[in-house]
Amino acid sequence: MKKTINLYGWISVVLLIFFLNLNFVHAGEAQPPEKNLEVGKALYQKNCAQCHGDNGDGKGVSEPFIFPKPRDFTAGLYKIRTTSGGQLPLDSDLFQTISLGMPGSSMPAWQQLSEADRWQLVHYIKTFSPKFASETAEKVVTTPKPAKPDLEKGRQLFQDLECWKCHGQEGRGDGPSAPELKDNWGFPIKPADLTKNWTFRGGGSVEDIYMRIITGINGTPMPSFLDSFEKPEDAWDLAYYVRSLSPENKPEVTVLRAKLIQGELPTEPEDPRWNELPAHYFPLSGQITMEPRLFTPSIDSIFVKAVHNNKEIAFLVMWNDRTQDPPSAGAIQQIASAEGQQSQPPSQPDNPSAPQPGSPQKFSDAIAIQFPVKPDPGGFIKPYFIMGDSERPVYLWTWKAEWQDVKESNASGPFKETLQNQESQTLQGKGIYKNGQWKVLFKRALTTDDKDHDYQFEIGKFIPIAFSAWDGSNGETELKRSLSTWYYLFLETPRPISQYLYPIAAFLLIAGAEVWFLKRNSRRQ
Amino acid sequence: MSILRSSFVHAILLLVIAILIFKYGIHPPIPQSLFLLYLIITLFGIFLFVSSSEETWKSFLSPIHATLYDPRFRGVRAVIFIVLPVLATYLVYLRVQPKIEPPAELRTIHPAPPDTISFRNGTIKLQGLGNPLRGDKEHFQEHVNRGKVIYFKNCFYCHGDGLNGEGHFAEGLNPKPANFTDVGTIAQLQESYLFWRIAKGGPNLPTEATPWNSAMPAWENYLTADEIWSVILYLYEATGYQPRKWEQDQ
Ligand code: HEC
Ligand code: HEC
Ligand code: HEC
Repeated sequence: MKKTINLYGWISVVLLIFFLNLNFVHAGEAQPPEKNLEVGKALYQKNCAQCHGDNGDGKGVSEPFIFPKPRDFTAGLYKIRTTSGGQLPLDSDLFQTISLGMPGSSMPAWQQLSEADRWQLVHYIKTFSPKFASETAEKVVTTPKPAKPDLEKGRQLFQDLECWKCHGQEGRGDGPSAPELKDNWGFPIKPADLTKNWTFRGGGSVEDIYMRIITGINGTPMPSFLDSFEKPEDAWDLAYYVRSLSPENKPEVTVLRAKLIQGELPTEPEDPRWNELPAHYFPLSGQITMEPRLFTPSIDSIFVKAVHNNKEIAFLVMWNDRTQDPPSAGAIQQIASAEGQQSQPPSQPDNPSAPQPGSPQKFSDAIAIQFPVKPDPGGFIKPYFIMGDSERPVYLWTWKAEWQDVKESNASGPFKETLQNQESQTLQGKGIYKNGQWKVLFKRALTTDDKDHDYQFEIGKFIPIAFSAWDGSNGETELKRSLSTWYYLFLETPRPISQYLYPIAAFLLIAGAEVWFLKRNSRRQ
Repeated sequence: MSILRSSFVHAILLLVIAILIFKYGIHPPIPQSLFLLYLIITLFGIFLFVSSSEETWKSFLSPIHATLYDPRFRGVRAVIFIVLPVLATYLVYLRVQPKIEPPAELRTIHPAPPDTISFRNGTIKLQGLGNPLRGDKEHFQEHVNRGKVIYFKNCFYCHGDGLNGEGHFAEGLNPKPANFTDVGTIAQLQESYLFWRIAKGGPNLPTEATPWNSAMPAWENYLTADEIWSVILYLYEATGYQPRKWEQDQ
């Protein structure tokens, strides 16, 4: 008896500690501490000045290397607020931004600072702008969330309120007004890509999106839409619609699995069979390891699908790009007619606003898939991820918009790339641009005759694969690119019979044991 | 017999509590392999507990015995006997599904450094080398400040403002940039080791450290020896760690 009480006593103590502990983890919002500008200043100098500048003007030492630029606090313009358009933020808004950071920019989340320290920073950064002394701000009036959002209505509002003019028909940030947008400091600004909610500065939840729609984003062309809705709860339908443009969760990197199918492989990027295949996500970063470096890349990730049929393999690479470079003939025509009446022909050399194919500061959009030339016998060693090295060259598939074609090449390091000769070019491909997205198809036989230069694909093996992407209008070419490190491609194998035999064996084994037991049991009785 | 006094119930309770704690009670979450290890230890402990006396052992076995033989539990028995083989078949089926886990990259994070390295047309002997700026007590803070500026021009976009390896380019890289606030990096290393890694970057790593995947640039192309030593000073000052000393190894 005593023993039992002891045991339950222990169990309750452990449970109590466990739940208290959970509670501590979730306990938020301590009381803001007493304002102390000295402390705030010291924290600011240590943690923030390198980007936001000693005087809060956004001109810290890191400023040249980042885009979007660090906020200039002297103007008192803040993007992420719960106050009406044009107003100052609340202290709690600033606290929130400092705590959570601004995804999609280099502004980090300052979780390593204590809450008290973050409050001191809020007080201190307010001193950079005189507006905080003279103006007041109030929390915007919000409507409760509807029980059931009306996505169709949201889609209609996206049209009617002309969100698409900046954000594009499918939300990829490629609207017709997008190229000309500037922020209040004169920097070019890109409308958010609404299909990647994990890059939203103010957070990607429906609540966050709702708040941005009704408060606007100060200092940018994105206005407040508070007064644009017939009924205030309509804003929620729009917010839910915008949220539905992004996946449920931020995608994660997995092995690129090439599905085994019967019959011919797709030869068109728009082939409906692609829709049934999972898209694999690969994040990219600017190439900043070797000169010339790209500090402000425009393509942050790509999605890839793959299939094979034991004879050939095909890839579909998809990525969002707000501009098509070089523009299609149709697009040039459209721009020319939109610039319309004063009509200069687009080829006029001294008309800089008309994008011209092959104009010097712009390059072609492009994508490349990289493989080793040969698999490493041990399956471990790979070529250097940036275009290989002299010991271990790489095998590249490149598609360029200006070629409208794909080409095979080999490289043994940057600037050491040679196109394969005509006989060896067996790669097929095609790219199309639609609504802010490139879709490029690559297709080749699993094995080729040029065994010295081409990778020979084997099923059931882990094959190193890496990617590079270029946005021509961002000045990207050669080493100035977004790229990934090595990941793996896997070509599915046909299912072996053992896959069905083992489960059947397991069933027979256990069922047999049971029968034996029951028999013995009944005999005993 | 009260159900609360049954040591079978105790055993189940203990197991559930242990699983809860291992899964949700530990921050940061522990990896699956460690979880399994803890679970095995817990099961062993529970076994010791139920077999500690004749009485608890009997009380532990009695519900098991009852379900197997007691005519009152015929229904329960039938359900278990049907569910068991079906469940086993399903689990085996899941297990033999071709799982495509990529081959484990056994990367040696801190390989042995070379004895000497070439540096901008010269050579530097790493053996026994310390940070020359550390002795300059008079201008110490100046060197640190200069190191900070160098860090925030050259390193933060990978290694992060908080020196925690979470710069805005980190997501696209694999291996991830080193997290200097972790006890497993600079706190264990000599300053000469850092000098080698910063000067020579990823490509100079030996094979076991997967040089082909490291995005760490070779900074000898951009920074002078003095600048590298000052950024090293900053890394230690900002994280509060002390470098490992040569004397400690003797
Ligand atoms: C690595 C550079 C970097 C550092 C360090 C940094 N920030 Fe930022 N911060 C940014 C960038 C970039 C933006 C602007 C992002 C944008 O406009 O999309 C920004 C924006 C902000 C904003 C504006 C939010 C809004 O609603 O517009 C605040 C407030 C802010 N930072 C506070 C801080 C504080 C406080 C610190 C120090 C604890 C800090 N930042 C450190 C880069 C940085
Ligand atoms: C005049 C152009 C313009 C229009 C019209 C416009 N936006 Fe935006 N929007 C922008 C820009 C520019 C940004 C990016 C701001 C930034 O980077 O800080 C943005 C950002 C956003 C974001 C991301 C917010 C965040 O936290 O980063 C959302 C969501 C959004 N817009 C939704 C909408 C919706 C819905 C509409 C229509 C009601 C709309 N926008 C209309 C220009 C516009
Ligand atoms: C392009 C991104 C990038 C930049 C920029 C960068 N690093 Fe790294 N760094 C990495 C990566 C990735 C690793 C981990 C892989 C490795 O060890 O090579 C690393 C590793 C290191 C290590 C080794 C740590 C250890 O525990 O062995 C040191 C030291 C280091 N970096 C210092 C610096 C310094 C100082 C700078 C700036 C001058 C810098 N890095 C700039 C990506 C970067």
